[in-house]
Amino acid sequence: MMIANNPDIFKFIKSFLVILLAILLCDWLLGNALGYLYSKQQSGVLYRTSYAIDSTKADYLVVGASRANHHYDPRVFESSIHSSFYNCGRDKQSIFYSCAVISSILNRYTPKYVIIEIKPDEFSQFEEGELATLLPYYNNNAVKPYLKYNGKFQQVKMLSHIYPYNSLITNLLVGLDRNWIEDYKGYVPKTSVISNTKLEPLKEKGATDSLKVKELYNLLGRLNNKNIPTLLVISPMHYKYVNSVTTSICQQADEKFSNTAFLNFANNKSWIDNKLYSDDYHLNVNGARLFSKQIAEYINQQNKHFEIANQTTSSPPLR
Amino acid sequence: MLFNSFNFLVFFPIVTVLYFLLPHKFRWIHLLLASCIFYCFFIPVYILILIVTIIIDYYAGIRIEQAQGKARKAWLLFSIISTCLVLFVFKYFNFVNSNINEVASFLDLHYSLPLLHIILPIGLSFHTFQSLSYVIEVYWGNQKAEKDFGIYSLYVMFYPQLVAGPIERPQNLLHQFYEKHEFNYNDATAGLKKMAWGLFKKVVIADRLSIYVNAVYNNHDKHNGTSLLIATILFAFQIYCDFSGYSDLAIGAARTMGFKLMTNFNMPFQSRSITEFWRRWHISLSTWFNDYLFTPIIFAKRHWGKYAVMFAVLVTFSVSGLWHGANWTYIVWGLLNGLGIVYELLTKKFRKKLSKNTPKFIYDPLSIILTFLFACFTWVFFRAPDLHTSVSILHKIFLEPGSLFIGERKNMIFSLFFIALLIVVEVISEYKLFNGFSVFNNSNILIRRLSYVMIVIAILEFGVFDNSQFIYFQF
Repeated sequence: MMIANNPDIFKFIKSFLVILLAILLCDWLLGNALGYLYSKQQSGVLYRTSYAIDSTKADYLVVGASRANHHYDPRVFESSIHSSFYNCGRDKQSIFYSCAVISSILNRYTPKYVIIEIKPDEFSQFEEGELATLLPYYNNNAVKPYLKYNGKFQQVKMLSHIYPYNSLITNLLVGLDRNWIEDYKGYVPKTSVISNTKLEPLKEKGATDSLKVKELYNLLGRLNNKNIPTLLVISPMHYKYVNSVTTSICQQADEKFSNTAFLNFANNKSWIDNKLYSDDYHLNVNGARLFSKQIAEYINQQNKHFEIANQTTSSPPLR
Repeated sequence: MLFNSFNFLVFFPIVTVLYFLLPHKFRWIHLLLASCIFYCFFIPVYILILIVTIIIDYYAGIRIEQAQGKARKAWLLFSIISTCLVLFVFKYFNFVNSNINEVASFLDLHYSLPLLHIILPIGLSFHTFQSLSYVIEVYWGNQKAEKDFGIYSLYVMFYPQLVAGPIERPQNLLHQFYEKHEFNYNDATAGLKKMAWGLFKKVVIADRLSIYVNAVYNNHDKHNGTSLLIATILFAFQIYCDFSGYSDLAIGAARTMGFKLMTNFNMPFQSRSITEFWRRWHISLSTWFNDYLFTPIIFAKRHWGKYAVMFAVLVTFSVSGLWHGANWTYIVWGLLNGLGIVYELLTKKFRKKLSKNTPKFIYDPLSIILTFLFACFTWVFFRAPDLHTSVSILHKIFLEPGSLFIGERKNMIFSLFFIALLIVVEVISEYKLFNGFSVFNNSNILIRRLSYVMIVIAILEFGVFDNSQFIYFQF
């Protein structure tokens, strides 16, 4: 039978088109509804990300993944350095996320100081979908360039209106409640305490992702041009850290950019007390308070040096 | 190419539409080329291995048919040995070598053969077994040797089942390549529905569950028995949805072109015994072992009486374990399942009596739960990287309970919700509840179409899109 004479084909095409149309309609309706809910967030992780990207005007910022989010207590910084502070960290993010958030902030205003928390395996190969949290900001000009790293066919996938809000339904519903607050200016404390005292070795996974290094250096260059002091930090961890790739990349950045400094707390003997940790990778609320205090003191010292230097020479603040 | 990748979303409609547009005589070439492209998305050079085994088995098939007496058997052995040799080199050499090394060092003997640093060709165990099935069936006279090299190649390489089955028999598949498939509405819709359900099981359930399972199993030393128990139960659903999802995608993709592949899963978690479980789980592999290993062993050892059955069960399941992977964990996993079936053989009369004296509404659910828990127990060995870890995990599960690690709350909520949905769908289907209510095959066109829309929307909203591989690809 010739294909054109087969009535099944037309029946199938008709059904297929009807279903496709219904899918497109549902996708559009539901996607827009989810987008509306996203824009109405009052609390929670989605609200905090939106606030960091679109609204914060804080003088001091910290960006990074979970270790940024749980290690930097804005109350300690604000009382110590007498400036506003916002914690832009978010769980399970990569350096691309930090770059995207800082880029969008730089498009709005110039912060006084930026802390970038670096994960021990920050520069390991990027895994597809790691930047999914930024898909709702696809139309943000500062964020969009980084979304190309999220995987192949990103533009085609973004034809779906639901796709950017994949798996976010529970966050969206919880975030509508203004009173459901778990953070203070972005910082979410961890309360548990680990019991083990043994330090396990921690190694970097796989090969180094050169794109991550490139994007970090681009961002540091931009911060340098705007004369914004930047601090790269590997905060304390309850591991024996045996990696040298991440630290050497940060050290190179420290040498390359005059406004950038690097602090490495890995393998620091004063940070091996298990009572300061919520798990091997994260400080608990007590550890975070102590750590924030140290960083704040460091920044205060830098600022003093900067003031003295400004009175005598025009040398850059951190070198 | 992965079924859950964007590449396949482009590949599949192009291949299917072209298949129906081309004249029948060119369709096999089209499917063969498409299958080559599909395979080359992994490690292209490995297609040469596939071609070599295809040539050997094609030629051996013809010679087996032509030869008589001992020569016939010799050609069969030549084919089996050469096909299995490829499998041995890529999959088992390092395992055997390292075991010999350990035994030698234990005995203070000097033995050193270097390990091979090679990647296992994807789906090697699957197409090896499909090739073996062909030569054995030709030898037994159940299948005529295929004279057309292109058609035989397609039998081994047919893309929907090339890398993870179902492991087809020549009697079921070969003749279908000669049949002219007209476009058929029922086949196309049935195929697409099967694919949608398979994709749903893979990206919405299996990949979601893998987040928790990997978090716990990859850090098993940091988790207590309660978390490990939950991770093991979730792994049972993960591996089921992963593999049956792949099978549904394969069967569905073939069905849209009019090909009918064998059923590979039949709701195994509804099984009331381990024996029944293996009739419902990975059916194409179970029947393969039944036909080509279990039955011949029983036949050869028939003078042993009932011990022949037990022996055959234990050998078959140990080999089945080894088929899954070159690791003692898989062998123990297989052996435990074999022991479970032997136990059922030995207690058959007792259990029959017990079932008569126990109300059905108690006996049946209890049997299902116990079978499921036994499967979970064996899967600890399947999932753990080595025997030491497996034992340590089981020790924790039985003796070290504690507070449950939840991980990301939404993952747990989605996981439990979709497992519940899966159970409801399968229970309705198994027991024909509500007159066998099915949204996909509902007589009401509105409900039917709405169900298609909803499954796509569910995949978009709840799917995990990290291009994760199917678990069985590694075998």
